Amino acid sequence: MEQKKLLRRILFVCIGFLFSVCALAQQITVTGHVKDNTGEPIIGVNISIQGTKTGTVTDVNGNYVLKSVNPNANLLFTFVGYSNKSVAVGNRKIINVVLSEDSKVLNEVMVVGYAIGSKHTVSGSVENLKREDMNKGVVTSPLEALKGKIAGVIISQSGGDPMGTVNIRIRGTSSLSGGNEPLVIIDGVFGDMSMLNAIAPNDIASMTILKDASETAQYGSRGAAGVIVVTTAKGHSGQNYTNIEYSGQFGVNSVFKNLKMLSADQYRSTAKSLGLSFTDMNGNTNWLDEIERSNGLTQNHNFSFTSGSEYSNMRASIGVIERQGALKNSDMMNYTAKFDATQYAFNKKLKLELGVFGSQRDGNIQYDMQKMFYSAAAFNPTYPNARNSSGAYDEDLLANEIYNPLGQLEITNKYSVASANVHGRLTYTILPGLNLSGFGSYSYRDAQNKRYIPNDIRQGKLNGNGWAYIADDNHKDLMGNIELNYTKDFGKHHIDALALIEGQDYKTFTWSTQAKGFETNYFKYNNLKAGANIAWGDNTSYSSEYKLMSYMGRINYMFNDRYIVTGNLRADGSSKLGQGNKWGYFPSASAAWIVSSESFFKGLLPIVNNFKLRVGYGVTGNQDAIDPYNSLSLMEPNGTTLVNGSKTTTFAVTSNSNSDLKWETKYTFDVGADLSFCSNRYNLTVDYYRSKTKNLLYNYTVPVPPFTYTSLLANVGEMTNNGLEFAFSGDIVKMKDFSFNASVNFSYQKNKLVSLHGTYNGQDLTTSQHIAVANINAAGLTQNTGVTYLMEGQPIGVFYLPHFIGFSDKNQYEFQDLNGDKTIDTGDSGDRQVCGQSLPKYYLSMNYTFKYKNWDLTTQFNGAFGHKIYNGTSMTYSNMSSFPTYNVLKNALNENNGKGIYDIQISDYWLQKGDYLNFEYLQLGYTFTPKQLKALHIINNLHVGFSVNNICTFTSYKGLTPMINSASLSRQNEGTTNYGTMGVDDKRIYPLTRTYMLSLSVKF
Amino acid sequence: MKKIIFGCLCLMSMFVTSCSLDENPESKFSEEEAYKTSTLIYVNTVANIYSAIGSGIYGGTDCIHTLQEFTSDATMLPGRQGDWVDGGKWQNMFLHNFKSSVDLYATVWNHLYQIIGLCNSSIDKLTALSATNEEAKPYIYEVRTLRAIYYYYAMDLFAEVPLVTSSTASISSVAQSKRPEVFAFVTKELAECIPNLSESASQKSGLYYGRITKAIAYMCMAKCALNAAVYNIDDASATSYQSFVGNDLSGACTASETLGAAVTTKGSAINISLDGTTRNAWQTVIYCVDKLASLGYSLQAKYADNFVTANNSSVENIFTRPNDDVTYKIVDYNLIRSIHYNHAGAMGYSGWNGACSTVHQMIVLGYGTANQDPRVAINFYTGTDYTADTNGKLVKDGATDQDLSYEPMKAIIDFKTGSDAHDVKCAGARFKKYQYDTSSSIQGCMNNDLVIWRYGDALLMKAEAEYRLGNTAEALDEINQIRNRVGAIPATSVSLNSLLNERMAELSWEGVRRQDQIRFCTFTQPTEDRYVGVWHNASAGDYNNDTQGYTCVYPIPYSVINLNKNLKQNPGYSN
Repeated sequence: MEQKKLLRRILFVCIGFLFSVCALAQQITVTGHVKDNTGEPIIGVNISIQGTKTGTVTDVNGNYVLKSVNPNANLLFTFVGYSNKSVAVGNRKIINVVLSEDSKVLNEVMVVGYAIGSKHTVSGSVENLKREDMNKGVVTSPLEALKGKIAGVIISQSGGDPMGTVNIRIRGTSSLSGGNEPLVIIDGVFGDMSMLNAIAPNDIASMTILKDASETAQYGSRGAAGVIVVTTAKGHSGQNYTNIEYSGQFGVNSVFKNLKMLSADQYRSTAKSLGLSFTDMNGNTNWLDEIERSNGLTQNHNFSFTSGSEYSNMRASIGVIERQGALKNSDMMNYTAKFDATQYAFNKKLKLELGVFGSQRDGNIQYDMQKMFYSAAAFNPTYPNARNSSGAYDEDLLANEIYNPLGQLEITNKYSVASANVHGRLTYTILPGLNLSGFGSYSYRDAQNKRYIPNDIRQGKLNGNGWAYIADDNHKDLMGNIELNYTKDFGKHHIDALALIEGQDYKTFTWSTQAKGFETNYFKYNNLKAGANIAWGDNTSYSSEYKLMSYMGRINYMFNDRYIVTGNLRADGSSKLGQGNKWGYFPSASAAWIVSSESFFKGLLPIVNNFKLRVGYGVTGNQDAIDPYNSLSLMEPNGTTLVNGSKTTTFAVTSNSNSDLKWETKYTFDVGADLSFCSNRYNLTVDYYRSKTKNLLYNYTVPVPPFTYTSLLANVGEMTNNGLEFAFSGDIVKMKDFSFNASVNFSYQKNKLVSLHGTYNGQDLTTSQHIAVANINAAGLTQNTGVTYLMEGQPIGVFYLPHFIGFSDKNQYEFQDLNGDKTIDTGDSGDRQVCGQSLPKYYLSMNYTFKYKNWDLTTQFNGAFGHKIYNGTSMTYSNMSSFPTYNVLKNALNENNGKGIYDIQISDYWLQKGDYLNFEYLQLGYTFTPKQLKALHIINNLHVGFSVNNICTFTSYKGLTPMINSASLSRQNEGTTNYGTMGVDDKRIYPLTRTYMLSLSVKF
Repeated sequence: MKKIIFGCLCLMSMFVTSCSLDENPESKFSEEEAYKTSTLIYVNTVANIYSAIGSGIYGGTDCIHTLQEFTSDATMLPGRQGDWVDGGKWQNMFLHNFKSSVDLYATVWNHLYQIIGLCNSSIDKLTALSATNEEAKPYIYEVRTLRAIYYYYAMDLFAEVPLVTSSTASISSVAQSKRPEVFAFVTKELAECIPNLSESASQKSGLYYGRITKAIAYMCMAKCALNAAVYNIDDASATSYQSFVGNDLSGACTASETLGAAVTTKGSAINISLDGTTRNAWQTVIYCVDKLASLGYSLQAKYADNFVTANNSSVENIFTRPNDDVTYKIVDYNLIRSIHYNHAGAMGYSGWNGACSTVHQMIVLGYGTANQDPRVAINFYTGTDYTADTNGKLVKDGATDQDLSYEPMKAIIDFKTGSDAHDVKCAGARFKKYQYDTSSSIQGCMNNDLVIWRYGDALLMKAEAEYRLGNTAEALDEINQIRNRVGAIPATSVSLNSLLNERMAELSWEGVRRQDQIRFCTFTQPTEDRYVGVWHNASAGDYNNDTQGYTCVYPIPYSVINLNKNLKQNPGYSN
């Protein structure tokens, strides 16, 4: 409620700023042409009369005409990639200009954590992605804009769930329990992925990725998994500037690949030919088609305006993004608003910045995704695709794991997330180069889940005859810091120093309520009084809070433009940790040598115009993954009982507490080189890193007794990650009318769980040797269902499976007696072996851009290699022993040399190679020339595009798609269960969809 | 400039000192808050443990009851062509392939020690509180008795288990004790607590509803004494229980008088001190059961009244877990797991069509013969008698177009491909013991309190003890009290085998069968349902024809051994 009001207010503010006035005088007309160093004309150079908003652009021949020029004015020539040039008119009528390529691209200012540096002065591994380099095509979230662009940054989304989460890993997984998602910082505000989703991709000016600890250590406790620093688009200062921009995309998506199950006729004939009796309901239904949308919409509209003057500037934007998923009841609407203003005062000594952003994201998600897809694939196809005469969907009570898919579509499961942030910064320049700034931020997020399972479907009957449920999750985050910043150049010395004090406070309040026993489905969750039954435990509430305190100092020193040293020291205190372990110290240091600046180098390799060597080492911490209060032994309600006849709640300690809880720490070493050739035409970056994470936080299995409960959040074990990253970009072809730019990045990564034992309160603690992190869930399979595991000496998410040796005469799996005890035991302690990893070893991304005259063509390919996938979907749908109760794949009849498999058991038979290369998208665009736009007067820039995504996947994987969760240990909630999904394709993969999209971008 | 920097630093440190990193939880509380009133002391040291028991003894999918019932000759969970194969879990239990890696054992072990852990914490806490608070003292005995009952179960299932009696035990101090040591601990604890426990009826509403009372402690003592011959074996090798390996290989699975006499002798040599007197094991059984009678327990006039929706007025139930859909909310899976989908569906209920009676049990109970035991109809759904629940309506079997008709004599542990589809779905007599509660608002949480121990069992225990002590007439009288109540033809003679059969008829589904079979030396014997070469699903192993007797004890769960290197596996098991 409140957040909606807030959004509305923001909107009003935005509109208020709409109007801006300007005046201009008219004198003479200036003409001329603009060429580059080689004498080629440059098209599209911006020519503006300084101090006014009048300007023009060069045509295809590099010529321009500028009317109404004051003879005393200055003309400013600007073009991306070239140095700006300011020319005094001096009453001339012809002004020809030569622009030289900008060698200072490297010197562009970028935000490196708290500090501001440039690619030139940075000594750590930092990557910067500007707006124009971000993905085009179907982009509805910031992460989609970043995907495939930076080596070592892996972004993956499995399936077409519009509300689904996107996984991101920077340099792989270095922690067992969450804390693997990078810290997101939006204009100084700390947040997570959900905060990033509150920003429209169009509002982002650049994203800086801090990969190694020498820079992430600035964030100490929170930087272990990398940092994404997002700088949003702001107003422009220093001139009387106004700009209005609209960009929009409109697309249609449709399913192009689906599982092929037996059709109703094939189902009948197969059952008959096998002599199996079955229920024939005389229907002919393709359930997958029934639950899928034939054409889903994707649209994205963003409107912004910007203005600026000498002493203030602002930018405001509003946007809306809509996505409809492949499944009929999955969709998402995201409304975003953003406002930023800057004001200078006291002779520019004081700078005031204010930023507000907010979003309201509403969507529908299938309540139990696996059950939905499992049902749609395996439900008896002879059942009719309609309600029966008594108004209910026919259910097959024999098939316990699946329900009528159409009945499941009747479940309402709504999520809405409202978030808002207000932040402000005050910077005072005490002396030239010495700044004091104060920053404060308040974030509010409210996530609501509302669900109703009707009383006339099977799930509703099983859950107390209609079940309404509402849950709310409320976050209030407050943070602030005071920063003292000193920059000084004297002689050949350059110093950047920083001191910081920071405090963060995170408050969460959650509640849920439910009612069962609905005689009518009219109300859904809108009137819980309509439900007759409420039991103890149906109403819950929970509040928690944690705090972080930090001190940080940083110094960046550069000598003679070629030797750079950076040092950081941060101390963090977290309230979540045990008494005496609350504070952690996170130092880092890095050094760089710009070899190309040395005089000996210049003669040596003239083709190389920039060569920088970097080395860094740092320590970072992690406690994000854990909940508050784990170090305290606390009691909570565990049931009710009658005391003297009256109902009373009982309290108990319901989990093991760990007073010894401490920081998980990661030690990272990085060495790298940056190279530029042929006047920055080609760029190459190479990095090698090693990291070691100690005191891994995880909910370990512990011995009962002496522990009362089987799991303990503890600091146990050690993990290492080694990797290599290459990034290459260059203009392969660069001609007047045609250019071809390629940017390729490649990363190799090796993960190893070195140890899984440690100490707890001074005692040795050994945890389980095989910790299952993903299981298969299918009819007829409840025992020994573990597939991917954590095991000492192996990478995380290793496949540990029985070894298939052949089919028995009963057409059932036969396994090897791996431990030689003459019996087959498929349990964890029995006949299993390690047979591959789910983490890809190699990642490859390729981005190609072709330009011909006004046309541009952009493509992206992403690939992952060296890993395996457990094809649990095919295993389940090939089990002939559950047929005809459960439908099977068309191909099931061909398995086992045409005899079929009459069994379901976990083994390496269903383990397949996961390598793939995916043709992610293709966008064809056309930019209208200023000449063409002249007729439209008001339009300065117009670009139209057409894009297609998910074009094709090259893979040997036999399932629907190899793009599943191969890297994340985090578990996802489906229905009432929590599943780990790493490396497992298990009946929850969305059918593959392709989106065709038209886009339009206009600047006024 | 230095002043400015100094000033700034001062400002910064002011900012920091105002914050503290201490935690102040608002949705959970620490133990200081938990004992502020006398009600809170009871609720947070005693009742909270009862809450934690939930369905751990009886009712859960994998609970203590599951381990006592599904490995016996009375109950099975057949693979119904894809349904209920569950990786061989149930078939392996029935075929005595006990694998330490199966989750079931770990689930039960972890439950046992969770409750023991909570008891230890409460005892420590109550001991501290009792220094200043008299009210706390009797609770110590109540919790100690509960802990003794849990050690009794741990000893019964896993034999050599760690005896942990403190909430601050270190990881390295946890090591197994010999089974006789655990037995001595349990009986001593019970003997010490009994004089301090309430004489109230735990099964009835009131102050002691659902709580540990004197009667429950006596019953636990009687059970320890009855099985004392088994519990006092030093479980040192795979052949330690050789003397409990029966020799009836005919499939009739009868109890041998010769082997039984050896058990009797063992029991007679074990002495237990209770209420100031030392008696041998069999005398102790009789003494305890007589104590139960003097505390007011007797046979309920009508057998079924012990299991009806409002069964808390039973005079027979001794130890129950109170249940309803509002306060206790324990889901009882026995009914859900057994009855057919369509049968359940017709009652507006959920059924999983799984567990059923063995054919062996049906033969012993004379199913379909002129001498059919009356308790068949009380405890089992057979044929189409389920229509009593469905207003006389028949439902379909869900596989063929035929009507559902339970087939008690067609139960087999796994159905081959090509088996008759009707049989696959309908084989086996189904669970009927508890009256179906139509008023419950939550599936499975019925108002019937769950019966753990009852006097009918106690009376048969006494009969057995009398028989073993040579008092056949008394034994026969007690057996006939049991038989007369249900209208069965009175018995005219007693043997170990007739005692064992009587217990099967009287106590079916009640979680005593495995114990009985071990004590009567029939646990390892083949039956009509299980024998070398019996068909089973490929995911299960062949029938384990154990001639050494090591299967009388379950394996220590693999996950437990894996975490504590001090623990060793029980003899006979590979890991």
